[in-house]
Amino acid sequence: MKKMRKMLAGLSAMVMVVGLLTACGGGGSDTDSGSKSDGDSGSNGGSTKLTLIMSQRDEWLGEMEEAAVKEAKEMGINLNTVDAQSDTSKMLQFIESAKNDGQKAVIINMVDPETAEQCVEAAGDMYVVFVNRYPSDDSVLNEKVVYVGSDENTSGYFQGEWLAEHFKAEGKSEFSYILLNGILGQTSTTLRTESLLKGLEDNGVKGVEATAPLAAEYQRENAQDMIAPLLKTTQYDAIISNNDSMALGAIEAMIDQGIDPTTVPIVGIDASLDGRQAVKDGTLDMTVFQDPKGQGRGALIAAKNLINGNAINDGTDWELDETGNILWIPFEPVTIDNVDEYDNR
Amino acid sequence: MSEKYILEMQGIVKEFPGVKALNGVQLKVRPGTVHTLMGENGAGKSTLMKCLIGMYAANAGTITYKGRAVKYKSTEEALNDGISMIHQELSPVLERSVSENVWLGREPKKGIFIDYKKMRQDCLELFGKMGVDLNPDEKMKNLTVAKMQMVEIVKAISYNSSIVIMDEPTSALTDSEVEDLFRIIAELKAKDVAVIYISHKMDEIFRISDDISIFRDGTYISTDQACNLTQDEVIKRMVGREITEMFPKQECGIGEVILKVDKLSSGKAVKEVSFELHKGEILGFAGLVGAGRTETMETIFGMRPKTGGAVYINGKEVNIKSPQDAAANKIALLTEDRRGNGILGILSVKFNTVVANLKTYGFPVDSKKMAADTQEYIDRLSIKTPSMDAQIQDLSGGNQQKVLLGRWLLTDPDILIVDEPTRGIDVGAKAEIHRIISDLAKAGKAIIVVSSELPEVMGVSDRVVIMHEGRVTGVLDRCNLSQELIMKYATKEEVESKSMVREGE
Amino acid sequence: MSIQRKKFLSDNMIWLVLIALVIIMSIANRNFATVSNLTTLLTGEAIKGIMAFGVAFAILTKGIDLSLGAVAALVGAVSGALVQPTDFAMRTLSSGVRLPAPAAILIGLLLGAAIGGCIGAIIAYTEIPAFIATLGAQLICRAAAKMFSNRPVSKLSDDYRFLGSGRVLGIPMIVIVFIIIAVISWFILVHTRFGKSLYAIGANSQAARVAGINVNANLIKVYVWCSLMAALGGVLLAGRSGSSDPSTSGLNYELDAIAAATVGGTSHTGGVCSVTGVIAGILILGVINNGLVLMGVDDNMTNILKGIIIIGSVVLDMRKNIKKV
Repeated sequence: MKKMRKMLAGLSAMVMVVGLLTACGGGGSDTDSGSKSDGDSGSNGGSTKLTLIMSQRDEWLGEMEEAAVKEAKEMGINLNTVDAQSDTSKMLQFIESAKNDGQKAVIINMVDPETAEQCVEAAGDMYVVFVNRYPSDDSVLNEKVVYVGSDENTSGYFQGEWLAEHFKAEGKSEFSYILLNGILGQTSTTLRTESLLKGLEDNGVKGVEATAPLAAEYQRENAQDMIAPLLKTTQYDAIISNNDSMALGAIEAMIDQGIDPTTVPIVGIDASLDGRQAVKDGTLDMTVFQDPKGQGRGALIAAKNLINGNAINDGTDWELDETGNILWIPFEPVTIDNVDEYDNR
Repeated sequence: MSEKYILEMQGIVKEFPGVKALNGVQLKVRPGTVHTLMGENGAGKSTLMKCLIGMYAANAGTITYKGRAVKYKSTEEALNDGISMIHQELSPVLERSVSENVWLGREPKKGIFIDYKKMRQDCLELFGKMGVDLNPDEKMKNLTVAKMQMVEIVKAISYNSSIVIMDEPTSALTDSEVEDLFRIIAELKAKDVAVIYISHKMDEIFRISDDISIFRDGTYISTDQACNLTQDEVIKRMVGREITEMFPKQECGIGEVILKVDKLSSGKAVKEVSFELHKGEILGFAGLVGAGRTETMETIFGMRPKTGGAVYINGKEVNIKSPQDAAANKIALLTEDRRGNGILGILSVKFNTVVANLKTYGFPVDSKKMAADTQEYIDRLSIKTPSMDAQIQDLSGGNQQKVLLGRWLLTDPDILIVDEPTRGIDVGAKAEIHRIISDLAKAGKAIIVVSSELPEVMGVSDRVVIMHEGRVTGVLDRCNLSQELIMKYATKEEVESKSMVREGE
Repeated sequence: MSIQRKKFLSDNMIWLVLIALVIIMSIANRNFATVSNLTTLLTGEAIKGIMAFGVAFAILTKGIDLSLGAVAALVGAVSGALVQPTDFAMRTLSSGVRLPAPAAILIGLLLGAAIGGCIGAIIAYTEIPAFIATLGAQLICRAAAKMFSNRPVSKLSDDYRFLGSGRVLGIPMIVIVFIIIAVISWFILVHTRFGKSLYAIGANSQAARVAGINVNANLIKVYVWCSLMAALGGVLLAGRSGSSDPSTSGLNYELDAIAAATVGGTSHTGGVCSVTGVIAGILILGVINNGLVLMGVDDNMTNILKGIIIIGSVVLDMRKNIKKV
């Protein structure tokens, strides 16, 4: 009898927890409570429901997600954001779930840019907006499948340009550097590094990598641990990082070892909150602003325009590429001279 | 009236899923006495005690202790109220010292730190009082089972208990250790402590008991003063029938040598052991705890590495390196440690029966044949179980042992080794197991019985091998057996070559 | 209440929970209980489910396998690299031919089995805890996968992708493979000597040894089976997405698989495991994953609920299986 009662108690507790969570989910984000109550999750009923699938959540992507959520609220769109936790299979499952839910478009921040085709396949009749991660095979892009992001071919180039100018001013035509790569093999990493080298070359300065290739996977802690043993054992004139987080990790490591980070040019990409602060402090010399809010907003605007049958940049001053299927959110170089402009972007 | 008894339990009922373990049982214990609970395994003695100390919650019934109604929710509560229990299966913290074990959970403290000095001193004081010779700093794992038992008893006493329950405390003790225990019990009695004693050993029960309560199948049968009872009467009440013969020995023809062990050694435990075993013979192995009997059997069975000597089966040397090899040579071993390496506790009776014989059920396994084989042995060995799908751990010790016996018989071995086959088993089941062994010998199987109970060894064996500290010190024929002679060999080192091996007689 | 009914409830608790969850989800979102969504649910859980059948065998013998995800990544990358187009500029193997899919998959599975054999041998003969051995294997296999290719192995051939993303009669192949594995697992556990031996080893390995069961050999087989399931999972993962990224493929899948097996009543104290239970465990976690996403519940909330269910199921399991002391 007692055991029986306990089990029933357990069962009802579980039911209650599920109910509670459901209520939380429903009420937590006020945008989707409207559609939930009348049980209408499709798009025809005043509020459109969309899903934003994040590959993972880091600082930058978090900002992008936030901007997308904010934009959705302003547009009256019911946006459901989910985290695929770097799992392609999970991402595909989320896409299918959105399709099953009768949604008209899905915004995807791909885990693996190689899987664009599968994403499009899984999305079926839905419009697809890829954001931030450019499909490896861009033949999937068409009037129903679009990309919103920044042109990675320019991000590293800005770093290269700045460094070239810096060393030319010092009268050097050659310098050595430590390069902190993101995730090897990832398109953004490859392009950032390639465009950096191109930026140096085009401006007539020769860069020599002082170490074996380092891949700190965009992580601050990884970068810190990885660079710490090299700082005093390697000859280098600059530290170049594929993003701000890793550059900050390097700065941290230098301070730990009593090296003044202002003595060496350090450049990053992202112009994240912490990155901009470092620029103001003078520890980070230069970073490239990749506009998370712009990408987040842009993705949502593109999705809405697709559904309404407009050009994807309709209502914005952002440019399209020649096919009309890519919306470029520009990169901008950030130094101490213009860093304040980015505080409220 | 209630002044007369320190403890009164009335109408206790305890149900487990599918079993009514206790059915309105009563027990009245007088202070300063040894009150023995008797009954076959499964009669409900241990269950009753577990209800008393709060390990189980009784479904019905009242407990009156020192004149007030009590209902403990945990053993801790009972302990603090002066009721302690020494369990059949000890659970010491092996990696800790003796004194830490005694004071486990209530270590004397100095501030927030454990006061090891005081702990040690208190421990020595207790040991002194009880006449126990133990080093408080020794790690528990280095002690013999008997010594661990002593520690448990000291621990129980250290709570200043008014009632100490001992569940088969002597099953692993040697005779001299048993004497120590009895001395301690006498001291407890003198301090007006009531001792509730559970045991199957008739002789010791009649030596120390004041009162004897008898249970059968979860019901209360009787309580009498020990002086008013006889052994036969007790057994009769316990089993509800007369047991005609405890050690039914059937005369049978002894055949040729099937197993020859020649100077077998295994590390320090087994030293140059030699003996021969004949078809149809029951060979007893006697000796004190630690004499190396179990280790010898484990070496023969491939459970422990052989470091010297040879084993011959039917005249051919065999190299047995694992229990699989042993099985292939048609040897079966019913191990001493039923719980440790015998039963598969959470699995069914059926599974436990067929597990040593899996290879005979083909691919895919023939489930029907498994069930049929199990049923055959349930019937043949009269195993009492709710069904063949019941978990074996829910059966009584005797029935578990019979299932294990069935497991090995199913493999149709030529040589059956049984190690302490009746330890912790009630009288009725004991006699049954003895009969089964005797029947098997009659059917031509060669059997080795290792036992620490001299009456058992002497009762069932055709010959007895006696070991001491890893060596064979004597081999006696059935006609020459006496307890004194066995003890003489069991306690001495030098080997009398005359009686070493019976050769060519 | 009769003992039979109590027993019925206790034995079928997990199915009651599953039914309750399905009812809740169906009420909360009308798009939950549709054929297409349930197909999505099954497709999403199938790979973890297959790995759950693998790790359930290990848990049954009181072991564990933490290397599943990493083995999947390694096998996905290696077998995938064998079916990339030869003219593909980003081909992982700069030379070599494009193998037919069955050959590549077979090589992948053999690689998995070999890894499992090593893990099993280490566990059986050194007697180190399976937790440690497979944790080490996880690191090694993940690193080996990344060394094998530092970028996603992509452009996998269509025939290779058939298992992961093809459909037969409208049913995803991945689900069919899952069902086949479930049936094989059931057959092994219930109808073979190997399966029976696993129960014996899990219940009491000493006793199993005495009863003539070759414990070491069986343990090795267990981990071969585990890694085989992981390898199959790796092939399916790569097939499903058409690309296998060594750094993220199968990441943390072992934890989902262990969770599913655990929720399904596989006891970590050994000796208890049923295929139907594991299936129920997979479905429960799948229903939660899928249903809460449809409802727009925050991922973190989903994980909190999963955590509660995992702990709750083990609490129930302990009450049921551990001898009441």
